[in-house]
Amino acid sequence: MKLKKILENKQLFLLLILILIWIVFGLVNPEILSVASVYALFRSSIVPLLIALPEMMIIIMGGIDMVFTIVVASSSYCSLLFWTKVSGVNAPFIGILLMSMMIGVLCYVICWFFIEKVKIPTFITTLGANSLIKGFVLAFVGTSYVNSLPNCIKSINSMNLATAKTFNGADSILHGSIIFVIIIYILMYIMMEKTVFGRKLYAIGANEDFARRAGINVSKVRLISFVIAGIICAWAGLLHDSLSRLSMPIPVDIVGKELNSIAAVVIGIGGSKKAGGAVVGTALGVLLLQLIMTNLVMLGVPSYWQQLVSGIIIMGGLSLQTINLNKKGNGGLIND
Amino acid sequence: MINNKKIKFSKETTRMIFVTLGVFLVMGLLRPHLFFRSANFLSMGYQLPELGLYSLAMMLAMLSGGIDLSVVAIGNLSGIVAAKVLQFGVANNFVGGKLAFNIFLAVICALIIGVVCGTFNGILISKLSINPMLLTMASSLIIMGTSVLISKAKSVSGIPDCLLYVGSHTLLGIPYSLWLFILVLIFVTFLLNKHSFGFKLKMVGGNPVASKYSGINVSRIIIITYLLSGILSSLCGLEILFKTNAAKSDYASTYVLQAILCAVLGATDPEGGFAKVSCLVLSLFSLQFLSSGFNLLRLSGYYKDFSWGLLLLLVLSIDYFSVLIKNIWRKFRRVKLC
Repeated sequence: MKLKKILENKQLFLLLILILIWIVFGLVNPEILSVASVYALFRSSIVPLLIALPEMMIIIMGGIDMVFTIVVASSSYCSLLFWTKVSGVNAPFIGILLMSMMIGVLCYVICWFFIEKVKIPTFITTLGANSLIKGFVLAFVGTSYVNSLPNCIKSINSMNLATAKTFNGADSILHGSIIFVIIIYILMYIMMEKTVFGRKLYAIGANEDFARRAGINVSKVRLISFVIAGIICAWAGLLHDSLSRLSMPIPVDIVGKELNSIAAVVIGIGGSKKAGGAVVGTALGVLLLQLIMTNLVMLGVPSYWQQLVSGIIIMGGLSLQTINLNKKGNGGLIND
Repeated sequence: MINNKKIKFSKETTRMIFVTLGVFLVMGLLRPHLFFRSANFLSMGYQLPELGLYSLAMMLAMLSGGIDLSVVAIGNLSGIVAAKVLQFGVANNFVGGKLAFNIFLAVICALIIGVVCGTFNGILISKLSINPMLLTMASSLIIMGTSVLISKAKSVSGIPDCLLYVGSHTLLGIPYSLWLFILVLIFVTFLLNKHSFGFKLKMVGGNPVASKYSGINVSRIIIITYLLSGILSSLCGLEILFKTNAAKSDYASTYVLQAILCAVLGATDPEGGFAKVSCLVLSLFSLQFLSSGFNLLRLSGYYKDFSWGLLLLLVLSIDYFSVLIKNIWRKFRRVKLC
């Protein structure tokens, strides 16, 4: 009886899978079980954890967002380029933050206009906006890297909470911004699960027409959630730039990797159309994918195989979750 | 008998004709002495089929209410497999009948790859009802992983000279690859407009539940659609191989976005159920005019990204803005009358 309950709770089930995979990996290579390796996992999942949140909100509302990666990249790049040109390394943190947040929100508000007013499907709009923003930044703003970041951004990079030694003696660092990420996740959890606004998002995702007839102002709810998405994207972009110590217009580890976030969210939310657990599920999904992708090398998988292996894992996760969903007869996850 | 009927275009076609003409004139008038030259049009003829075949594959998948993001991955895998087979022939100095058989084998292998990948997509989408967008994204990762594995992430080159001749020469002033594209176009047009399959496909895309109750085998139609999409993609992979003498696992990965853009611009309804081959060809032309024009203006490729995104959003919102302008005009006139 109890086992059945655990299996029904998707997020608990996912946590069990995460721990199981971690232990299995650890049996092959004991170093993966060490504290240092866990610290490294957290450090590599800071940015993916953040950029999965906007995607999560939009998938809950029944669409697929393709624009978030380019918003993450361009908002921080434009703002850093502007402030380093204006005041060099002493640029004020508040100014950088406000400007990148404004750019992020602007990108999402443009998307909102086309989705809500012109009635173009979310996927097509965000795909077009992706191409539009990428072209705009590269053609009109700049293509050069920002190598000398402002001091305030640099100082984020050296926020260390704890260090641990790996087996060959190198330092592995628990980065301070993980606390920031955890705070945002707690806030998102409260917003999604405990407030009326979060309930409205789930309602729109279940059926937009019904939600409208139940008196929800769909257009307004979508605008607010897009603004939140833009703000989170801007934060994620600044964190990414400070972690990688330079700002690129099109960082290859984010742009073009939309699938990783989408897969993490879909695996995380899974079949739970019972409207709940999305935030926890997303965190677990991102951690699971990061665990697998970062540790394939340590398991001794040849680099030629890695793309194939990660593809098969993503495909397996998607199929399992969708089969579960169909069994319950809840219909598709995504309406578009 | 004189036919007095005027040729009537649908709303979508008229809109696309105006857009295409507009782009053509703007791009032409910016560099008239370079744009209106036969060499320019010939080079456009060589560039058209790649995007055209991928967009047709995308259009078929979209018509069924789904999307196929694995087209480019399938094309590249077929190109790599065909190149491997052809390399074997070149290494052993095949001539005459043996060479012909080798080429035949390579083409068949490439097409089989397309059939297998397409059927795989179709079966998973129709039987397990996984969201097509997510599924084809994941399957494109797997297919790309396979081609990385086969090619060791290097480009595979070295195909017989006769195939290179086909890839880079013209017949009656039109490149061979464009002839291939025209044949495929005729085939798809026939399939969609004159064959019962096309009718059923449109029904399934428009309303899968209703078509299921009216006796259409929905999953069979969807599997065949993705199979066709796979075959078209592998044809495109072959065409790229013959033209460039190389196949690579990550060649032209931006074509996925462009193919969606081209299909949606060409009046394909992304929700499924409606598509027009004539509009698709027109939108293909307008995209090609844009990119050739930008090349002649010596602008960087980034302007292309920008203008394509802008074009997609603007063309899809023409209706919205025309209604808006009409309303404002009406209000303005009412104020005047008062």
